[in-house]
Amino acid sequence: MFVLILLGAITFMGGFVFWSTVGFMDRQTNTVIETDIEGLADVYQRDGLNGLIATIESRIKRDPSRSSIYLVANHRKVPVVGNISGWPNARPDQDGWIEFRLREKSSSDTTQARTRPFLLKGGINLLVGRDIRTLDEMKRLIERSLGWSMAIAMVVGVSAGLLFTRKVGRRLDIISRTSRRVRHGNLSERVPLTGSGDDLDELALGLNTMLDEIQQLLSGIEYVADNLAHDLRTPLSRLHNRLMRLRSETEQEGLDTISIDTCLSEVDQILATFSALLRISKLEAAGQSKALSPVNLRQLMDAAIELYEPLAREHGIVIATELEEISVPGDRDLLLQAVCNLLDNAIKFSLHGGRIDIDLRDELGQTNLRISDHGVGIDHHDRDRVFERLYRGQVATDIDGLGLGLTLVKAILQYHAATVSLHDNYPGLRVLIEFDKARDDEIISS
Amino acid sequence: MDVLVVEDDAETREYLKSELNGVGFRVSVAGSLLQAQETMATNSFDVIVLDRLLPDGDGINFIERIRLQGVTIPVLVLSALGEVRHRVDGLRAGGDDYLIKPFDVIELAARLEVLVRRVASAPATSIQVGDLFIDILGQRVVRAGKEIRLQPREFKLLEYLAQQRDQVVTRTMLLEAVWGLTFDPQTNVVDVHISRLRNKLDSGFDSPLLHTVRGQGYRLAETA
Repeated sequence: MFVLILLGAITFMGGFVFWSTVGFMDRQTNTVIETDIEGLADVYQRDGLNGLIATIESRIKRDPSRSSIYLVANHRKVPVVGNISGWPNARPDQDGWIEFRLREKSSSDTTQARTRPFLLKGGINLLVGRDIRTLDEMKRLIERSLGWSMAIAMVVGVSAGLLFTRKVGRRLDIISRTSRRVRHGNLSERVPLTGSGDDLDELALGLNTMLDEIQQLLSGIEYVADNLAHDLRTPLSRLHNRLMRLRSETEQEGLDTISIDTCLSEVDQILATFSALLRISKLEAAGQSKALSPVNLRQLMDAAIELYEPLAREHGIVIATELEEISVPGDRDLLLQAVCNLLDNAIKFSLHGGRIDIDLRDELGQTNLRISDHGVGIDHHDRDRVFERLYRGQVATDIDGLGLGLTLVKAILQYHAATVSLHDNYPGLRVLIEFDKARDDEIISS
Repeated sequence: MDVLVVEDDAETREYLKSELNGVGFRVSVAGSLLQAQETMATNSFDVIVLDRLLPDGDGINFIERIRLQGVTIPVLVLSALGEVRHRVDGLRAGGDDYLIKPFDVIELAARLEVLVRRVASAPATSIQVGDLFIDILGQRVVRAGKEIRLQPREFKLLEYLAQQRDQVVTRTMLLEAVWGLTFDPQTNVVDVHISRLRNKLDSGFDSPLLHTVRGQGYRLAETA
């Protein structure tokens, strides 16, 4: 696009220069010839044919290089006096000009002549013109130099443009990469400045200032959330403790504790929800963690499966595994909680006597973990929403839960720069966790 | 058993005092780290219950300080800061256990008992509970002369229950000690493991050894 515009502009400019110089020279030659004719016509009118012939002869004598062309001929165009051998055969063009080739008497050199015929009173034909050989050469020279300068301008322009685009593109790339890392939760990233103070530096500076402010706001939120956790959990803990005391007193009096137990489990539920929400928020605010040590995923899965295997067996469910020996940088406790939540769900939503397949593989440098059940599955339109806080899918309404399990799973995986997605297992649900390795290798150019 | 409760919230402090009194602890209380230090200078304790966010500092720093002074009394850290990392911080600083608010006093009492007893007794190489003999070094279990085959994890579960014999062990204690889990799974998976262990341990014998304590947890004991 840029190249096309540049090409158009250069062509237009060249065309204008050509038209204004060469065209001017042409017009000037024409004017000179026309003035010459008018002058000779005046001589003819004043001094008659003899006067005209004398004038022309003296002019020819003064012009040995024959830059001007003169010919006086009778009514049958037979030459009377002049410096060319005969009347040209060519017919005049629509503006009354005749151009023809003229051969030198002594050599075979030919030149181009531009002439204008004029009919004088008494049937006398007058032909006045100029040798335009030098003019033509001049034209060619201008054409050539214009052509070259246009070509040079094109090459210089296009390469300068490309260089500029590359440079701007590279810096835009740095900015977009920084923003990508920020989006992945690394809020401490900043766009490097070149110090040139140009528009892109201004943009980078603006972005960096904005990120500073966001980071400050987020740490403020974290601070508030921490205090809120402490402040709200203390009274809730007291309520829990009072109910516990009431329960033991009621029990000692030999009375029924069912309604107190209900209250207790309600308070516990509120506390559990609150803790889970707080945990999710903290994980989300933490972004992607950097200081992670390698966690052996196979051992982690083995531990989780070992914990859940008896429960699965009780439900008549078989857990089939295919686990490769793979480690990822991570927080073992958090990852274990994530896979336990997923296993818990897989068993909860499985049909009795089903099978759960777990496989852990390295696929093209990417670690993929799949947990597939043959249970009730999740409706297509519910699949994104189940990751939202407190959202419970259609089939989950009959089963205990806070609606935070998958939200926590997602938050934990985000913290590990991993993604989780839900797919149909025909029948059942297949959970796919992808640990992206590429992100660790990203190199920042400056 | 003497316990020092360091907690700035007066109501929680009094509640802990009366509840722990109720299950047989002699309780002293302190509302700040300074008070705790003063009380510890004139009294001896078997175990300390320490809140994290106190008016004059973080309980974690207090543990580090007393450990440097050579105090080895086990400390259970109590806090509303329920993050895994906080827990790791607490244990790294020299805390012996970590409990998140809110908690059942039963859970707290059970953990305190374990802490005190762990300090008092040297690690055993074998444990006898009634007619059940557990050879910890040889990983063998025999009941009334009959060998019981256990899987490694079942053995670990039994070993932990046996080490706290006659005491209530809660589900979260088991999850932590046997599986290394620092969170409560959504479903009660521990119950299933316990019932499998119970099947191997008690079926075919007249008196059960592995008891469920309703609303609290489990206990390995000769009598219910």
